[in-house]
Amino acid sequence: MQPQKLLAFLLLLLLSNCKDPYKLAVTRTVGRLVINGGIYDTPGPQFLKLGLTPDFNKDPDPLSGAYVSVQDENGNQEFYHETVPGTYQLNGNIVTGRPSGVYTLEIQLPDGRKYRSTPEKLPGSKATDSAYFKIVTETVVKPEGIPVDNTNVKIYLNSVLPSEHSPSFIRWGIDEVYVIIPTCFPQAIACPPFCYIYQTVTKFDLKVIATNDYQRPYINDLLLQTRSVDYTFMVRHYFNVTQYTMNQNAYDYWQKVALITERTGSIFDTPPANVPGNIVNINDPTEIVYGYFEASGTKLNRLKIDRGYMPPNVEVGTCQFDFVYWPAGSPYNYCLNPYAIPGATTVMPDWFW
Amino acid sequence: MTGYAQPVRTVVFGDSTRMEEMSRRQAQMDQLVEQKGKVTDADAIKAIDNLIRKLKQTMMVTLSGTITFQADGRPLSGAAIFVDGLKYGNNSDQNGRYYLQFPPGKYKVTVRYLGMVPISIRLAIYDNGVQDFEMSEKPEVLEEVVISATSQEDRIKEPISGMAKLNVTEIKRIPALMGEVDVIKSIQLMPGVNSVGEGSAGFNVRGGRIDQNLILMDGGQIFNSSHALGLLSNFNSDVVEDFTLYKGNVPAQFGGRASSVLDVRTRSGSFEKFKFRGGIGVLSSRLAIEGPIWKDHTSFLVGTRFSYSDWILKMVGNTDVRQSSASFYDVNGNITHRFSKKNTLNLTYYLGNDYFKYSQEFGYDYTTQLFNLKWKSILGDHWSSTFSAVSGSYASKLYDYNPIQAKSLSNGIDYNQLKEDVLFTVEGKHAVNFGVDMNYYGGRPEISNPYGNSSATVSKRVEKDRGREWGFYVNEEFTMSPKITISAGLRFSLFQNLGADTVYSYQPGVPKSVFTIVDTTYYSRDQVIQTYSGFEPRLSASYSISDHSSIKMSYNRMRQYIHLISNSTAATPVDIWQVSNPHIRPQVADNYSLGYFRNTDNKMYDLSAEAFYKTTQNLVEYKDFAQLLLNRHLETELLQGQGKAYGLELFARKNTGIWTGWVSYTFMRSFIQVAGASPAETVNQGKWYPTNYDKPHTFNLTASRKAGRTSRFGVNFTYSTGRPVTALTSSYLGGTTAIPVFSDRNQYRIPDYWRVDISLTINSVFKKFDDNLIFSIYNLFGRRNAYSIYYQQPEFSTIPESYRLSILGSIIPSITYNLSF
Repeated sequence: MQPQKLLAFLLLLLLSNCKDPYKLAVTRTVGRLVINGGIYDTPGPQFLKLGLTPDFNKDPDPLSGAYVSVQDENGNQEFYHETVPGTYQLNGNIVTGRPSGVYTLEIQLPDGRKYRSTPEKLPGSKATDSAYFKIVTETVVKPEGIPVDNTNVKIYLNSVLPSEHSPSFIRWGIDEVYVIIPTCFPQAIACPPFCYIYQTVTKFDLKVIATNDYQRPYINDLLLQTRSVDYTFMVRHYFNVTQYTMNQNAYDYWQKVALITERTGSIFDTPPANVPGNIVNINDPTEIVYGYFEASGTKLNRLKIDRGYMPPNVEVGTCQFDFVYWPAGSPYNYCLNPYAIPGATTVMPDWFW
Repeated sequence: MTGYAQPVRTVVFGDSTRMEEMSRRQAQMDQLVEQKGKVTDADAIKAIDNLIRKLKQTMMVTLSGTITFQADGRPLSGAAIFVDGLKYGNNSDQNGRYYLQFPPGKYKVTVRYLGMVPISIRLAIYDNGVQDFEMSEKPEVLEEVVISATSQEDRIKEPISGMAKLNVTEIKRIPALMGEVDVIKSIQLMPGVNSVGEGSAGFNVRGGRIDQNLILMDGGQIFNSSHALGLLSNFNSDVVEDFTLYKGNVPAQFGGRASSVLDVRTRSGSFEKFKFRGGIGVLSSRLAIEGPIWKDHTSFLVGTRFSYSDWILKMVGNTDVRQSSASFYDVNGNITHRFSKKNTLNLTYYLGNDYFKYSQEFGYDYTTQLFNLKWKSILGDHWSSTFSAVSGSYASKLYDYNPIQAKSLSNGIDYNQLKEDVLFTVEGKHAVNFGVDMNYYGGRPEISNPYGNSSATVSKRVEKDRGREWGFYVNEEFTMSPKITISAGLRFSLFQNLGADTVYSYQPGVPKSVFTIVDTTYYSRDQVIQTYSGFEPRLSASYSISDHSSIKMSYNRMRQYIHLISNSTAATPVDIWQVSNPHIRPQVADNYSLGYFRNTDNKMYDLSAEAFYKTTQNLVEYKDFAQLLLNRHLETELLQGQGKAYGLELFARKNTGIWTGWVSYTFMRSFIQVAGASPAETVNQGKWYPTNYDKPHTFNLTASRKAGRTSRFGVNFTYSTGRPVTALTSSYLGGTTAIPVFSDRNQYRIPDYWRVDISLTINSVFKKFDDNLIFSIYNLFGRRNAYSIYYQQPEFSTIPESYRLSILGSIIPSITYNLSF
């Protein structure tokens, strides 16, 4: 080993910090009400999810049978109806999201407990967004010290911020939709239909801004997400970049969510704490309820990435039948049964192709 | 083994004919004692007692003088001088002076000080005499296997409990990270001292916070004692003389912090000849030069350390590491001028800087400066004075390189001190320190500016508070009887929060927030906004059960008017030093301790057990998601609660033999309670909960062994209970983001910590030089100790996963070559 290499190795040893999955034995927080959703200035229907924190590591248990309604500042009230357990739909026949509208959510659980949100005002102004992507290959060093090349899709944003005198509060969210064309063989006679996967949960750094923190009415090249390239890019892959304009209370909430979800375990991390929401038990204000009922203006930017965008040396795979591995253990299981992937459907979004 | 001791010479004071007179007086005394036994009248007995006492005085002789370091003439404080045969001895005071009183006769007197060649003289003393001792440094190759800066007898009789005094010679035997001997890392091996984890700045003493430690370099305050974000401290071993940690009783000369004092003293340069010492390591090097400017009158010393890791970073394949940068340097300067044997002027300067940049994400740049002028004057046989003027600053800058939000944020503190300390000593029995000090703290404004052309952020500026702290004190150490020694002191501290400032008044009965401001008052520059004051009694006593064992107890109260505002797990360079103001009350701590100390008959072992209990009022705690930077209403994010800590420290040290070293075990608990008037001002429902640094069990073993004629092997083992954390107990979705649900604050613990380090020091690598080569391995077993447990949302899951973050989680070898001539 050359002396320089040895020194580099020693330095790497010193600087290397490693993270391992680690399970801490804890007493779980069970049975607390969780809400996820809000009212938006988009045509209905709109959805709200209710759940209870579960006793083991999984998504909240759906909460069925609740009475859920929303009321605006004019006293109009509309009830949600439950479509699937824990998911409630607002048709928007009476109450719709509109700029300057003020909305209050009310929930009554099957056991009689009643909850109400703080009145939420839907802001009027929006930023003008333009999203774009880059495909970048970067070298990273694995914990064992081996450098490897990773190819990522990076989603960026240019935005012209609202120029009102009072500050505006904005966040962006991303979801993905991609298609998998399952292999026909061994069902060669009746090829299975195309499978569209709605990847609504994607890890990304939440971007939450207040325009008064910016000296210019625009921001350029804001990195929203770094997404590793994999089989989901083998045909076509969409990124939906949604802008949410919020009131100040919602901004405070989402800023805290951003702080708490960006923790990396370093000494500089914000100490962990629960993010207080805006729903309270009418009879017992000390009960802790998680989630925030928001009233937001939204704007969508859609990015389409076809397989052809991938650099020649990047392998994203192709769905082909494999005699060796079939039926179990195939490296392309998702080709055989993509419908098992969470969010999969055969219903094509009308904007997809 | 004393083969390196200086030749024993004979010193005579007075005439041996005085022994005949002594015999006559002894006969008189015997007569008086006999008479006393026969009379019954109380007045007569009193008169005889007076005669006996006066006669005894005439039968004693006094030996006094000064113990100094031969190379630079500086007085050696705490040097031990013993009269063989009498089992009697004493210590030199802060000016190196000693005083012994004993019957005339022939004795052997020995002076010892760690790292110095012991001096013995044959003494034929029949009259009072003055004998000075000049001690010279012990060559490393011949180092004696005695590892204490103070003698065993001293530790037994020393009235101050919970005091640890070490010098560089001693800590050089401890295996060190990257071969760098480190003051802070070494005191973390002492019982009662720990930290939140590796790579964290500062240390915690007896359940106290890191800002509750007064860290002094030659009397000047250091506000950030770390290099490389806590991997090293900013004390250069080439210039450090010794250091003392007061963790139990703190003498009244010190004030301003609620937990402990680390008093680090640097060396003066040689008055006789030029010397060089230095060391070359893998990532950093050291260099120190000293010598006379005017022989025997003026000396200088310049020491520096600097790192050079960037060129290696550039070779690393990882893009983030290649785009990173890490460096530090520090410079110590010292000029000492002796106007006479009684007057010395000392100028010291310290400059330390760190720069750290991680990829295109963030960076730190922080600088400490300290300038110290000290005038020591011996005013007579019993009086001496030390006047010091200190000016210092700590400035830090945080860089956020995110292209849109790129900004630099600077803050810091300016600090000035004037202090006059007078020492009055009476024949080795009384040592009285009294004086006054004034400290000025000026918080530097927090300034945020856009960084780079692409930044879209706006500039912000928030002024910070200023304050002036006065301390008036008197402290006496006195020997009440041969068995009882006492250190008693009283300090009165007064703090003034000064303008210019805007002070907000808040609606009473509701949590402070920008929405509950009811009034605003503007104070002009230097106008007193708020005054706090109080007495701080300090008392410590030692009762000698025998020559080898003693019991010590202490009580002291300390007030703290400046607070490190930090709500991260460990302190960061950009944390704010905030003085007390109308909304932030001073911390007040009461410390109690009781200990038993014992030496074995052959002095091979020291053993001690100390229990302590501490309460603190007005501990600063933080609301959830507290925004501490660039906040004009900082008080709206802070809470104040009460703290308590208690524990037991067990310590055993082996001083002589092939193996030397120590083991320590500490049981310690540290809690805080924040029970405010409303839920928003309350933490964990107002219940007591563990602090971040509450580690019930800590065990340390440090040992070294001679390996051959010129080498030494060292080993260090450390274990501690994992620190408390707030754990994830559930999660839910908000939009498409998985949001964690957490337990109450600090209700769980990360896994326990342990680590083994080893080192091999080879002296005299080249015969012509005084040099050594140190091989060390930090974390020999490459254990991935958890620094923290944190939670992240996996790429395509709604359930956050928990991860263990380890830093320095690998075997870290190093090679350092040290040379001096």
